[in-house]
Amino acid sequence: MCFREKALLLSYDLTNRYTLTAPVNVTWEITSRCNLRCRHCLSADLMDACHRELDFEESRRFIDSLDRMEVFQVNFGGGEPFLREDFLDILDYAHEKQITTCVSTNGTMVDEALASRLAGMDYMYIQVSLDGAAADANDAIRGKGTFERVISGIEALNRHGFPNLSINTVVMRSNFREILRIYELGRTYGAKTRLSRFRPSGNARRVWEEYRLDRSQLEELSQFLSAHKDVLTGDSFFSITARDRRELGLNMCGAAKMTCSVAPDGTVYPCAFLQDPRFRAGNILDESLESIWQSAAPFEALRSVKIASCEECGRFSLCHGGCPAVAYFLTQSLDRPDPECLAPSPGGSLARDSLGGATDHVRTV
Amino acid sequence: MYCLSPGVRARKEGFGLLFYSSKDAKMTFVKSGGLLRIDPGPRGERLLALSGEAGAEGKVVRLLDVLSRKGLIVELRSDQ
Repeated sequence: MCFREKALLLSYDLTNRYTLTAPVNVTWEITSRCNLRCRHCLSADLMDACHRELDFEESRRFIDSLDRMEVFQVNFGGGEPFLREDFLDILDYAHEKQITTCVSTNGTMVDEALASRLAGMDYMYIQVSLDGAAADANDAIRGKGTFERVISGIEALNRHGFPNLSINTVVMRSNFREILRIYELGRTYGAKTRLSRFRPSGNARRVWEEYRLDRSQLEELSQFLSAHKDVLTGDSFFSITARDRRELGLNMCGAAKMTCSVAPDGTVYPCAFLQDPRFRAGNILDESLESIWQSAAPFEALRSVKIASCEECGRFSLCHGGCPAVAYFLTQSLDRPDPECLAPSPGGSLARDSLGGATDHVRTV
Repeated sequence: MYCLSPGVRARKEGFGLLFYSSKDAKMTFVKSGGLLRIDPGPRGERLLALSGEAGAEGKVVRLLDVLSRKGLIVELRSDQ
């Protein structure tokens, strides 16, 4: 980008200075029902606690409100979204409003008919979860027989020419050595690889010590990401992002700044990984998302988080302290550095190597 | 006259305009202040309206050039 262009475009860092009028994207966990019981499921607690889900009319009204707020994208998750009988109608309605959608699915329900229907939808992305390159590693996490069913779903989407497909893998100790093979498997299906961070919420809190990556694995992962620039990370890995990936993703947490999360019953949280009573910001059945976005106390709290001990670190421009959800669940504090930060100390050697400039683009999928 | 490219949406923010492209799910933050706004067109298209602020013509031209090169806006032909 030339200097003149840079003067006109801004980095998303500015969301530290401006509160956007609305989220850029909203994660909507549209159902708490699921046909799998994954060992690391971030929504496992939600599935136990949240028994109501917005009905179709409530969902339409919510999409109307997203349209009025000019929210650009909705990321549907759950639970398994395709368990909802009206889910395709909800997708159609969002697309009518020109809202881009991204569906996170476990892929086990995608048959020929569903794949054909999805392939006919414009501006839609699908992320299929796969936690191993073969049945043994995947099924140990996601359940016996799921690998074959997921691959069958991916192949159906392939046969019908679905264009925007990615395979999403939560990176853990048990599948860490599978990442390259998952990446290669994805390429055979024309699917992008998306690596997600294993974070201690939901079931993952209970298996955190068993599955979390150690420091050397985190460093190796950082190198893998640098060597594979086409691998997507969403907002997962800014705490370990090296300088050469700087323009490919976020450099700060987007919770309450660019995004928020809505639970099946309409409860709003800053992020799907911060579904804790402390962060309940309201419910869209009681007040508008616009009002919650502008003034809910948990959102204000996240926007004002300052991680003072990080501000002198050479990596600060790359991560702004990292993921508050990881810090919160491991230290019970929001203003602590991300416990998985790779900088040995503020301004340490890795930090100095990783200094980077600003960027104007960031993917939301 | 310019309009948003197909698959591109934009909205007003405190710093100017925030663009989003559905084709790659990327955002672009544009420091346009009050120089540009998005207006509805007669056929449902989203038009880029210029403020006409005196002394800002050069910056508006540069903004339009950058946005065009990024594929976020397209110039409408006179017969459109």
